[in-house]
Amino acid sequence: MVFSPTTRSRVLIATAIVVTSMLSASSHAAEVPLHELIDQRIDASLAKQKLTAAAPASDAEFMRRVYLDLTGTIPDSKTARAFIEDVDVLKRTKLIDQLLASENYGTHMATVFDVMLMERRPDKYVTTPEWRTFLAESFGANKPLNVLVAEILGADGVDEKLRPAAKFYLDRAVAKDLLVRDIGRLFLGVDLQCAQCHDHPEIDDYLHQHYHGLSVFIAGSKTFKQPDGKFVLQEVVMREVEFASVFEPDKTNKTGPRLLDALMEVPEVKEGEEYVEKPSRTVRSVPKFSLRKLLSERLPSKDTPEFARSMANRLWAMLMGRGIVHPLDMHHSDNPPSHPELLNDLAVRLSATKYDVKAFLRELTLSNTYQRSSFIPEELDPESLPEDSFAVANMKGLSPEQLFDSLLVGTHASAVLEQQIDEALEEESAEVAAKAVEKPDADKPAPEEPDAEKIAEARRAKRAARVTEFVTMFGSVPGQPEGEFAASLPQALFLANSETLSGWVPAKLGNLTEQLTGLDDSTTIADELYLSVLSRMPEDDERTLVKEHLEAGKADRPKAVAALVWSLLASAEFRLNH
Amino acid sequence: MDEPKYVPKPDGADPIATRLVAELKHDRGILACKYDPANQFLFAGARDYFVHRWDLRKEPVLEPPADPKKKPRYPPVPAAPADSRLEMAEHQSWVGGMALFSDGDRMATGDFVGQLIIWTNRAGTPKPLFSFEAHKGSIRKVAVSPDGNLVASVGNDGAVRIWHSDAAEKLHQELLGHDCHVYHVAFHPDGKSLISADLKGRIKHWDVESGKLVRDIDASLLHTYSLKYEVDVGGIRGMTFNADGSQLACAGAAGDDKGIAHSGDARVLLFDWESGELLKELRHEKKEVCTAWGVQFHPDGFIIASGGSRTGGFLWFWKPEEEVAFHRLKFRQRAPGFDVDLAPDNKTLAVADHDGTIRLYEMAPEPEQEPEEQTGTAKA
Amino acid sequence: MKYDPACNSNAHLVSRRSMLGNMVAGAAGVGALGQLIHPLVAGEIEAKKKQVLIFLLNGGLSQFESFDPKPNTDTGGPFRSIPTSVPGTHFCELMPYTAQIADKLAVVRSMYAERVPGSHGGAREYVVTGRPPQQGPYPWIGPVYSKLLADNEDLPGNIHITPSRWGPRQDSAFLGPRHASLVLSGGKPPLNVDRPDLFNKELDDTRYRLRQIADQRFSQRRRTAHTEAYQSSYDQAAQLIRQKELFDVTKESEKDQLRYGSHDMGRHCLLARRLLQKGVTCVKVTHNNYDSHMENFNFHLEQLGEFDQPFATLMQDLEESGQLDHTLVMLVTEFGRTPVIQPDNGRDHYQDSWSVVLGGCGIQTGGVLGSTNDNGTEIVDRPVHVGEMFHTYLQAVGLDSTGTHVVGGNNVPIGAPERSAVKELLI
Repeated sequence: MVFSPTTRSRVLIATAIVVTSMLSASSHAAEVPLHELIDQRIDASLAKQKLTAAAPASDAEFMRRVYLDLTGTIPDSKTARAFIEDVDVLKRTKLIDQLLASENYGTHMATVFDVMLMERRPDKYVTTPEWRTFLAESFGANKPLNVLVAEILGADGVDEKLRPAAKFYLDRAVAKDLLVRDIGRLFLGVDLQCAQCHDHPEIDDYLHQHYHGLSVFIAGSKTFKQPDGKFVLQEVVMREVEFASVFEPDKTNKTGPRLLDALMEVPEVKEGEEYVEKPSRTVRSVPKFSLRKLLSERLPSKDTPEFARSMANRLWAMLMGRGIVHPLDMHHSDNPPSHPELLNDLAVRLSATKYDVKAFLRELTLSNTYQRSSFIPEELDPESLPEDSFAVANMKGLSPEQLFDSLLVGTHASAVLEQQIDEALEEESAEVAAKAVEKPDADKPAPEEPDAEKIAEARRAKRAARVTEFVTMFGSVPGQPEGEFAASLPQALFLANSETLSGWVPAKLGNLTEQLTGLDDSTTIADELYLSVLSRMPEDDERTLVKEHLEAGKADRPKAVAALVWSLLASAEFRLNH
Repeated sequence: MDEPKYVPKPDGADPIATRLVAELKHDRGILACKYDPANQFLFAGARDYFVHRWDLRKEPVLEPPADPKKKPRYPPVPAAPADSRLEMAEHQSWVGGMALFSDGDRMATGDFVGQLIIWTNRAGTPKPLFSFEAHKGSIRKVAVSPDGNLVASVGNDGAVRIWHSDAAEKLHQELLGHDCHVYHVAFHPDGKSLISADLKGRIKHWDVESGKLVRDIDASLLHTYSLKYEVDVGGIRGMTFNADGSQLACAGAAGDDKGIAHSGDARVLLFDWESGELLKELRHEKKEVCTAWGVQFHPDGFIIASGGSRTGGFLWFWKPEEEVAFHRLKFRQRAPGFDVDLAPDNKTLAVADHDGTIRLYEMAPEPEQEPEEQTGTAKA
Repeated sequence: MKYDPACNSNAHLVSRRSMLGNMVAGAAGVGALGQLIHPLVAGEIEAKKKQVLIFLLNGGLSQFESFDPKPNTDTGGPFRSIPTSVPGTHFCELMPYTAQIADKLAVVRSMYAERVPGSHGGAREYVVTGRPPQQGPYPWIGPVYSKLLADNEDLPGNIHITPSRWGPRQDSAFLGPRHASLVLSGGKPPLNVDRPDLFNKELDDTRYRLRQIADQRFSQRRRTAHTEAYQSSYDQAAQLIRQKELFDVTKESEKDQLRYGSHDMGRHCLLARRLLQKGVTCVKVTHNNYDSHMENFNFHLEQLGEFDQPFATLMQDLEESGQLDHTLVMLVTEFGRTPVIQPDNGRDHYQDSWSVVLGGCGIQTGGVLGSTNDNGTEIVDRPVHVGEMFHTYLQAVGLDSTGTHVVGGNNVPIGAPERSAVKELLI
């Protein structure tokens, strides 16, 4: 297959990358730009494996990918067309910069990190909107990643400004085992779960003492209910924990706080002087020396190289569809990185740039590795091509949020969604009114006229409920990381028949189907359809298919168009970030 | 000055002064209790296979507190240990239904596997006169007609049965109408009517002579279907007529499902017998997740109920004309009183408690004690 | 360890692939997705394959009022015990029908587990994953069967018949949505099984055809793992929509509908029989609700009164049809109930001992394993941990519970490695 309209600009882009690379190379003479370094490492490994890299992605392919990766949604058809037609040789770099500077970048990263760090656990003490706002502001302002993680690991929930950061602890109910496991997995890249009761049965690197050493940081912390009803964290003094293997229950061991093999010193404090606030039922206990604070200082820092490695690997995986260490929480010697030097470079650069996430993502997206097509070259056998070669762009399933937003953009159905929300709210208030008539409650004052803010809040809640529908259907199990792409029967039934999506497809309120139905020429229809849904121009045979289908269905044009729209929304090309 | 909440009649009971006077100890939860009209014996059914009889003359009263200003000790210490309890063994399950004949000789008891026993010589060495399977599954309650000729029984099989007390034979083939467990049964004081009440809060009024259904009375306020637990909850737990038969009281709980399949807070529904109209929904001012299990009319004109839940047990006292209880006694033990009976002296109440004890309460102030002589210990 | 090659052999895998391949090759003209597997071929596979029927008595069945009665003791409750078809074994009188088929069952009276966080949810997870919930999430046993016994089938491998207020739950953890329970809430067909009004039958076919053309085009020279899985989910959907009567219990004979009873549990048991007959690998029926903190005796009278007869009827039908030979039956609950009778005539949660019942494929039936003391407060013989039972459930149908799931290149033990199967229960 040939993407004819884009061949020319692809060549131009290749030149553009060289130019920008040279510019940055000259200003930092000592240092090769990271995106070049990435390509050097990957190319060398491809050469060694005798693998041919895929061709660069077409403009359309690149654009859809980078939109989804940096802003969480596909571009609308106008934007897509403009980008494809743009002849500026620097347009890819400009787009990357534009997207990184956009508001959607912050909100998308907030979703990504919320899902990564909270794994879709139900809210307990800190709401998801509060937490996401905190994350969105952090990423929007490009707060260094180590600072953000220190805020999260050091949070006690008392300081209003940083309270959302305490969600990580609070909404896990400060449950020790859960936190040890998740801190290990999410910030250090090691899943110590199986080392909880004994040395890991299969992974030699994961020791029983690693688990318990990490647990010392958390073992003294628990929730405290403030007089105002808010739950915050408190901490009692803890120096070490005792543990015994289930296989040798009589042999007990001890460890102080440790981050894997690094054992930390805990300063001696005189007995009776350990506390700022002593433990009691009514007061939040605060020790003079907080192990949680120690954790927040030592984990996201140079002292703990696993942190930078794990974070670099996670950000890489977010864009490249697969970690250099994979699974992301399985950093150990029996599961070596596919590109050890590259992972090292990424970690070093991430920490050398003071954990500047935007700069890091910019370099990754500028690389040829990122900008490759997912289209497998003739020379390669698709069945035997290793996934960790990065010879071809790895395809990623859209997250539930990406799917929701992209379906909405693709169908131009914002107005329809608004109407669905209105109808749901009206139905609700009608029910309430009917109940009030049926069973008047004398004690209850008559309901007040809802003010604008309340209405807006109700609308947000209704919209969130629709997103939740997608999350339940397409998201991972609460407490489980988002897995690789998987398809299920209930998902297919949902996309085919659910009320939400089948409300967005039929011609209505200026949505895509209605717009297309109003057009005469089948080529124009095909172009607008493909640009809207798949963010690319159709091929000739696709234009022909559209033409034939519309002719066959001319008795009921709106429905024939609706069938076309649905077929692309439900296609693998739409469902995947390719 | 506030008006007193209740003014006792001359020589009458003083419910606001109600206090614990004796404890009859057992080791299984007590389900039902009945005073012998001669005030000598107290009979009870419990979570075991016996009918229990205590001789009240042999049971000690509790030691009065040494210092009336101090809180009494708990558990209270009896003046002298005694156990007059007699175990009447014949049943094959818990005994929840119990009614005494006014002849001083017989009593009827029913158990949770359907066995109905009519006992004789209840004041001596009791023995069964008749013992037969009256229901398939549990018998919930039994009742004896005022003239002692009939015994009525109800149970989980949905049946209401009337038996000749001298032959253990059915008076009528079957009184059909309930479609769920029947929890309670009572004869009207005139002996001509019988009422039965079920889990769903429906009361059926039967003509004793013909066995025909006369009417339904709706007490479904005392029932909830729990959507979460997919089960019917509540039902009529206690039921009794006043002395002249003009009013009917039904005990249970009303309100929404409170989560662990509890139907709400304690209620006694007061009905006018003639019209079947609901006169009052008797409740306590404080909403509490619990059930009223036993109910009695007092001749002085007030209504008493016992009940509670695992969070607390209570006696409530109402005037029939006021919905909110004028007095509530909270038990020291956190457990409901499953039954309450009024002693023939009209001053004492027996409460059947979950914790395996029958507690006797006197509705009268502490007798005045001789003031102690001042001894010369005052500080100079 | 036995491993039945008929249900998941490489040969089967290859033939499934080739069928899919054929279909995709002729995709432009596909109009009969429903006949993906020829019924005869399907019949052959089903004849040999292992199936599983799970009853989850939700809320915590009281062992005293069911399989471990202690009449006339301080903890025993008011009900009598009755003899069963196994001489010397007694059940509570609330299960007269089940008592008659006791010879087809193996009763474990000595189940226990440590207390875990999360009350019912946590304890339930422990029972159906064999792992304490704080280590999880691990896949529930239904998804595990679906993965290990039905990975390549077109029928959903794991169907869950639930009370009407239950929605879908994500129970497949790392095994992915492919193996999550397909929920029939209230015994009704799955959600979204009816096509929207917008598309009539013909246009519905058209839109699927257009979708497939798009996929075919996209998947040429792209990695096929994703696109194949995606295509297959639509194939399954199209097939299911065409087989809606699979869920229609009224298609069963009137006589059978009467035998099973018109209440929900009766309908659900009959539906379970229908699904098993049609070849669904794992069928789970949840019965609500045994959480009898109050009125334990009334609750159990009511709930077991509904459960007992259809359960026994279904067991008998499975035996008569010969299905019991290759169908494992499990009757599980998250925990037992306290010996102590609580103030509101209730029993609270009890994890120190309770009863579980197995039957059918691979199980030594007609006996009782383990015992509790006279008033049921503690286990006196052969304690059986929930983790051991998890291994047993899998080994009964010939699966190697000591093997591993491969999750993204990472090996996860199928059953807890520190536990092993209860050999006394296995044939």
